[in-house]
Amino acid sequence: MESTNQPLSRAIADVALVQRIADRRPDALAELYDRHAPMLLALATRILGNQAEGEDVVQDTLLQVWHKAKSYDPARSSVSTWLVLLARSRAIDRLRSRNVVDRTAQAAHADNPRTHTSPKGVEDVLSRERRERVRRELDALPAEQRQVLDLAFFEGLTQVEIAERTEIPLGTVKTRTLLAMKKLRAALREEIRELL
Amino acid sequence: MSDERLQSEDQAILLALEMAPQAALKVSPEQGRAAEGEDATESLSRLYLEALGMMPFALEPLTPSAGLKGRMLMTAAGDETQEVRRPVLSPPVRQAASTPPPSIESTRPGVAEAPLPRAAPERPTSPRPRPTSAEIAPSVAPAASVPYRPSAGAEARSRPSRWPFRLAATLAVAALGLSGWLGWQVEEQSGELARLRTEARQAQVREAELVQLRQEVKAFESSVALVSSPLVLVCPLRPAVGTTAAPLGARAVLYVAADHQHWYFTARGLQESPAGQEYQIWFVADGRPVSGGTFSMKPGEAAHVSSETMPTGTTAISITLERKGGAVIPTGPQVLLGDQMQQIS
Repeated sequence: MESTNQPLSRAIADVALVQRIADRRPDALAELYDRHAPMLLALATRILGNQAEGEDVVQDTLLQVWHKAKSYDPARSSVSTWLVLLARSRAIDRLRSRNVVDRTAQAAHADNPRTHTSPKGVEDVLSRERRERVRRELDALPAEQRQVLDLAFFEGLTQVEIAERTEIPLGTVKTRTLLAMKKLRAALREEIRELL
Repeated sequence: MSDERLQSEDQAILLALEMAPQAALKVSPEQGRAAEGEDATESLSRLYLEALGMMPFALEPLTPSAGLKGRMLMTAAGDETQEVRRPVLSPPVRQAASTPPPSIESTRPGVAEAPLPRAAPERPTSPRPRPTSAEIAPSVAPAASVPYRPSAGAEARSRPSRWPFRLAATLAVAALGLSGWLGWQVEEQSGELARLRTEARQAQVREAELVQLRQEVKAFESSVALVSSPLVLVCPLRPAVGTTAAPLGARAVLYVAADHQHWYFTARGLQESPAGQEYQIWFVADGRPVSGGTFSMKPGEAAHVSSETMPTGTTAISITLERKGGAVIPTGPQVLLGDQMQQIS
C-alpha cells in the first residue's frame, strides 16, 4: 500500500505546487523543476536527439507553466502528465521545423541516451520501479506495434506518415496502433491510475 | 492483425483514425458521420492518454545542465518584472503540418468531459469545446490540416535568447526614468533647501531683533522702574552758559537710583552729532570728571543711556562734544550741564 499511496501524495503535492506557481511563487517553480525536469529533459532529448535543445524545451515548458498555471485543471490530468504533454508538444514542434535529414541523423544519435543518464539519487526508488515496469511492458509489445507507437509519440508522425515511412498499409498501421495502445493500457492499469 | 476481432470501441477508434484527416481539414461532408467521429475521437483520446501517456515514464531521467534552473528562474523573474509577453511567432509553413496538440482525456469518472491542459500556451481557456478529430489523436491525425498556434518558445529557442536584451532595455528605461526622477528630486530638494536657508537667515535676523528688543524692553522697564521709584534722584541738564553747541531748547535728565549706582540718562533737542563726533557724559566726583559713556543724536529723536554704576560722590554731570569713541578727559565744548541733584517725592 505504501508504494501506491506515495505516488498519489506526490501527485497531490504537485497540484499544490502548480497552485502556488499560479500565485507567482518562484520557489514553487523551482521545486516543480527539481521534481520533473529530469524526466522532461529525457523526453525532449529522446524526441529531439539533442540534450541542449531538450533543455530549451524544458525551460520553455516550465516557463509556460509559470505563465499558464492558472489554466491547469487537476480534474483533467495529473501535473506530470500535463507537463509531459506540454513538453512533447513543444519538442514535436521543434522537431517538425527541422530538416528531415537532420532529424534522421539525430534520431540515430538518440539511440544511446544512457550517455546522459542522471546520477543516482536523482529519482527515488518508486520512480525507478515504475520506469522499469513501463519499459518492460513496452518491450513486451511486438516490435511492429512498438515501432508505430514510437513513431507516433516520439516523432509526432501521423498515421499516414507512419504508413509512408514504414511502407505499411495505412489500415495495418491503424490496427497496430490500436492494439498496441490497448495492450499497454491493460498492462499498466495501476500506473495509469497513479499517474494520469 | 487485421483478423483480430474488434469490439465496438475499437471500431469507433479506427473510424476516428479514418476521420481524422477530414476533421483536420475542417471538412465535414457528412454531418452524421462527423458526430459519430466525435464519439470515436473521444474514445481514441482516452486510449491515447492512458497508453502513450505512459511512454515517457519508461525513459531514463537526465540531469539538466547546472545553469538551466537558474536561467529559467531568471527568465521567469524577468518576465514578471517586465510583464512583456513573449512574441507569438508566425507558424512556419512546415509547422502548419506539424503534430496536432495532444488533447487527450482521462477515463477517470467525472474527468472525461474536461479537456487536458493544452500544450500550446496561447490557446484561450474558454469553456471547453468538444474535441474534434483534429484535436485528439495527435500522432494519428495528419497534422497538416490542424490549425494551431506553434510554440513561440520552439522558435525563440532556435535563436539567441531575447530576454537579456529585454531585461537590459527595461533596466535602461528604468534607469533613465530613475535618473530623471532623481534629478527632479534633487532640484526640488535644492529649491527647498535654499528656501529653508533663507527662512533660517530671516529667523536669525528676527531672533537677533527680538533679543535686542527684549534687551531694550528690559532696559526700558528697568529705566521706568528707576524713574518711577520714589527714592530716585533727578538731575536736570540745561545748555551751559555761553555755549553755542546746544540749542536753547535742548534738555536732558539724569535719574539716579537710591543706591546711587544705577542711573538713567535721556536727552532731547540736541543737534545731530557731527560726523566723527559723539556726545560724551561726564560725572563730576571729587572735582574730577569721570566718563559715563557716549551717545549720538538723530534728528527728531531722543537719546537714552543707562548704566549700573556711577562714581561715588557725583555732584554734577556734564555733556561735551568729543571725537567719536569718546575722550579720556573732556576736550570739546561743553554742551549741557546739571549740578542740582533733586529727590522727587
